[in-house]
Amino acid sequence: MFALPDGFALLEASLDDGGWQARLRVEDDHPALDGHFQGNPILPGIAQVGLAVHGASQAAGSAVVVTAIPSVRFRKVVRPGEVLELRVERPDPGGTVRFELRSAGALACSGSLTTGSP
Amino acid sequence: VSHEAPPVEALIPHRGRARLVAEVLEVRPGALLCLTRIPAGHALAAKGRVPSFVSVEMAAQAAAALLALERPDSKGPLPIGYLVGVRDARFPVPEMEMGEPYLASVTATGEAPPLRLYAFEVARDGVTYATGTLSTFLAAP
Repeated sequence: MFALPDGFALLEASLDDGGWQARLRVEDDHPALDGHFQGNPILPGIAQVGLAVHGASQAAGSAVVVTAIPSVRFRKVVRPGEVLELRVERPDPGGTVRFELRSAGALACSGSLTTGSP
Repeated sequence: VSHEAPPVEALIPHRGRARLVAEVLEVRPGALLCLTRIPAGHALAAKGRVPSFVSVEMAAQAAAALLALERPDSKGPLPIGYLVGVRDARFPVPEMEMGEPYLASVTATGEAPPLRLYAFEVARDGVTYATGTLSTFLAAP
């Protein structure tokens, strides 16, 4: 429904009562990898948050913007070529969205975002 | 306290459109103020704007520059501080404009090596775009 951020290839996705989940691959030419860093490409944390925001829009059924980050933790370096598993819950009545991003079964990034309408 | 800082390229490993810090303006013990910009072609840019949570990366790069300036051997290898957490961040303005100057400040508020905590703020023309706390993990050299 909403355009996937550049640099990710969507492998599969589904929406259920709990939220939106997807498997995606980090493309080798992801624009956020350019200069981050030379010879040691690492997907920046904000690109992971941007992916979670996309998932939040999918889960909510409407475009959302982030007005606050109560808490997000980055637990594992994410590199090009990795296949990510994203799960984003539907926003609660206050607009809070919880998400988890995993790579090879390991938690890469998780937390909560406060969202609102654009 | 003004500071004659080295070029940004000598302080942080970010290059090209990944580098948001344009100039270090002021350094004090445990604190740094810098000028930042969202460059053309930024990964999260759309219609000349980026979501304001990109300010977290501005602050993270400011924290990295502070780490580099505080290292005992100014000619030694750059310390690498990975962003590992963001807490209590607020973005009163939802979007930021590409190419415009934003002031980013970080202040170290706690340390439990290899973790370090910073309070941050990003503002432009007296308007606050972001406040919050971030934590970094200092990788072994």
